[in-house]
Amino acid sequence: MEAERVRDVWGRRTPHGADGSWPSRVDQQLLDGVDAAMVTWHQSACVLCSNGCGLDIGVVDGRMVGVRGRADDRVNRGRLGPKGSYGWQANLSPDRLTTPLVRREGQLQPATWDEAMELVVARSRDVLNRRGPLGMGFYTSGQLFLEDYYTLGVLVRGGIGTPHLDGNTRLCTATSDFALKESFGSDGAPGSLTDFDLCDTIFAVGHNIPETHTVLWARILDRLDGGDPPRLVVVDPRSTRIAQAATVHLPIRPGTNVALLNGIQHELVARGFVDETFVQEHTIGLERLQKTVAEYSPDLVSTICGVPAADISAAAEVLGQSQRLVSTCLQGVYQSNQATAAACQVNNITLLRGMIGRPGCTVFQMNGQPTAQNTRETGADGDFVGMRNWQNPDHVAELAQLWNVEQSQIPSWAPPTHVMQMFRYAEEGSLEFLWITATNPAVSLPELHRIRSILSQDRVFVVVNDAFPTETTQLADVVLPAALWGEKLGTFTNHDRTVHLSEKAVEPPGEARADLDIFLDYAARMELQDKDGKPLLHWRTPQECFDAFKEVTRGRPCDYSGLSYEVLRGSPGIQWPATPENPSGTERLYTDHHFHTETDYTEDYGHDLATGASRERKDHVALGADGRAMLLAAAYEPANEQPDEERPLLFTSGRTVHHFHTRTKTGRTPELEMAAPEPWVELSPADADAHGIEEGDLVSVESARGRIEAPARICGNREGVVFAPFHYGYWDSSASLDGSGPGDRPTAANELTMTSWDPVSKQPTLKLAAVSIAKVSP
Amino acid sequence: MKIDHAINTVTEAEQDLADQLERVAGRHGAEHDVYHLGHKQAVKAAARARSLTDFAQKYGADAPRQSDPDPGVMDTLRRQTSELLGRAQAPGLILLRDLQETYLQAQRAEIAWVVLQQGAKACRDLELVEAVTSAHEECETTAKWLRTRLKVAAPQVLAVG
Repeated sequence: MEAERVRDVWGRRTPHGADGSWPSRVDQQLLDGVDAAMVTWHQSACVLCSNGCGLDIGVVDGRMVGVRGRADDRVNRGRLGPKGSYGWQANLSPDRLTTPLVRREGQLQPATWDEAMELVVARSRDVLNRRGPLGMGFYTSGQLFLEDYYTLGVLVRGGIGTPHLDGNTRLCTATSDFALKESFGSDGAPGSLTDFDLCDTIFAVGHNIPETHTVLWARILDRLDGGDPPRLVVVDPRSTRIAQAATVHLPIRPGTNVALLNGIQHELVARGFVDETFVQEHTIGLERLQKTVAEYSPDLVSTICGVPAADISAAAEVLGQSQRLVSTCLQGVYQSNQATAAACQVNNITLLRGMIGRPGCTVFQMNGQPTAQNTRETGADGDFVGMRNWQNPDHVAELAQLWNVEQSQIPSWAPPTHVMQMFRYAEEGSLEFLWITATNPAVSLPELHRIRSILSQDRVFVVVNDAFPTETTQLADVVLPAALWGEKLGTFTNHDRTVHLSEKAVEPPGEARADLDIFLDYAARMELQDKDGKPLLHWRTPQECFDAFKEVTRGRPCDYSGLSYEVLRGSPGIQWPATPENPSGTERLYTDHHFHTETDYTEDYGHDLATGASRERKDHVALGADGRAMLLAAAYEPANEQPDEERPLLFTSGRTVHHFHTRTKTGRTPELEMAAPEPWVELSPADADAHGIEEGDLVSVESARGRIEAPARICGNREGVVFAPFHYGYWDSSASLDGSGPGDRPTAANELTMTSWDPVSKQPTLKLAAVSIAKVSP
Repeated sequence: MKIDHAINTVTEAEQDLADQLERVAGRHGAEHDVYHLGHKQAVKAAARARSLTDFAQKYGADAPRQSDPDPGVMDTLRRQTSELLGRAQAPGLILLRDLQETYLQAQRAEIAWVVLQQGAKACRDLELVEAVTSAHEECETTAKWLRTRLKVAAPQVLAVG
């Protein structure tokens, strides 16, 4: 098995200076023995991380046989990472679900689509009759296409009329979304990936780029190996590859991001690195911010974060001297303590330095999943469609008009319900119907024994759309087989607002259907209508759905009105906003330094960062931001769980380069599975020594909620920090009884994590738990 | 000068708020955000009362309680009870009642700060004005959090059949 991209994750370098001329390098991967001349190619983009690299899917005789990077694509210029090169083979897996399954006498058994859908409809009607719309919940993904999400969003908010619709983006990039809304007034990455080609400094906070976004790291490596390389400031408790490449690495104690970032801002202010003119003209909130950060001297921060004061000053020095700064955050911020507050501090640094809306200057509140941006834009999560404000009655009225439903039908009395709250409603019994699409909460949510027990209740009817059996399908009442990427037509948008078209290259296996078609079928059977008695969902194809979505984005930040399938077909990817006047899209937002903070336009009136208390309209008016960005102050608060005598270590989880999420695809890809077949636990040499643990020993890690076991890897992480990847559930575990839970070999990191979430973004705090460790006797 | 009265009113209101937040957080341990944020807000309310210690002495008011509200054994018991009842819906109405009562207590504290602030301004005690201003704002935030949480909780409790 030739697995070049597994051995050489980032591939051949194509170095260049800070001139924006990133060369192409076309990567191609075909099944052994395929004659390249026979292959027909179908345009798409990769769905195994939020970079969304442009690629073509190779097909011979109606079968997927490989992928090839698109040389002209603005995201990757032909490159593919390991997951992109090999992960498509999951489509071919013999494990694919090919027929609906219905639970009969405790067992999931094959059924026809009619049987399964009639059962789903009967239960829906029953719950709606007895409990009303708030008895119904929907939990979707960051893996589907824009058209799937939009259809679901209209179905749930306009048709069923429940606020209980969220995406697993809540676990992934809810904080990105909320931090952008808090600071700039709306979601949407301000900058462009090309800013990495042009910058002189990169500030990476809790973002292990080499493993989470491999092609972006290849892009950065080409800068690091070229003339005039950027300097790196990296915040990460682990000694990751990017940390090793850093000018300044700050391996802080997990959970202390806000203290560190306040310390850096303290230094920027104290040492005159603030762009006074920019701040004066284009921001509000400086006075309060200065007052707050004044207390965070490097010495104090050093004691909180456990890094030398001199390194904090050195980091501020590098950031302060930068002329073109790109900052980026990921899960080390979003899934940690004070998530939104910390992400907003990175936005503050961007604003204090005036590093936004210019080439080489931006902040990325990065995404994780390939289509998370669409979950947000279509309102299939905690947002309202087209980046509308649920608290703004004019926005809701506009939506009601576009959907032709009564305004009161659309739930807008409170924010859309977040998934942890939805599971709480299912736990206490007021939510009896839960439809999960393309996500695996039985591995990805915190405190797994609790999640399994909620999903296992008889009184909660669980429907799951998936392409594979997962830990979650094993607990479902109805399982609906879904078509994957490459088996359906649609669009999706990456973390720098680049929209790609993805063609249907092959037919789905067996009776599997696109989620879009499943939702349309459900809506028809439920007879969901607009206020004139016409079908609420008036489209039948992805293209018709896209055209309907375009209309609801017109004039909003994520304006798709200039896009069409025709424009996207053959394109190198187009960044929204793209209007009829400007169909080639927009590389950077806020180039005029006017932000989306007018009260009538803004997507969100904002929150108190410490409690999540919502600002109401009058509060937002009183701020008077009116197009200026917001500098947002936050005091450091310790995490909800601290190490103690019984559990003296801090557990944190994360990703490995060869796997994605809960391995539903990557675990079924031979090259990737071989590259990382087993979970592991990382310990610092000192912690390993203290417990008599040697490399490879089986280690038990225990929190107040659960336990996992895996072999030890002893490496250069911060002392007192224990790490495990979160990918390894039970669908392929020989110890598991039914593939839903651990049996006698628990491996899923979320057995340990706590039911706790950020007060603003409601993103679960998956990266922090107090644990003890012990060697397991052989 | 009767600033001592106004200080006593604030101190009592904040201490009562702290105690109430502490009880409510524990009683609703299965509502994990209420549990964690409730405890944090209780500590902050107690600290706000304490922030008046020097002024209490200066104006001859009662000394604020110096300790944080202690979660202690009662909290563990309350939380365990809450988690045992976690599969029942009846606590929903109790949650609404508790959050409403606590919101009213936060409002009581908030207006007490306003009264004290007016007195401090008229007495030209600028130090006290400054101390009151930041505490008042924080107290308002506690009330806003309770209001936000109530607005989220009420529909599910009241509208589900």
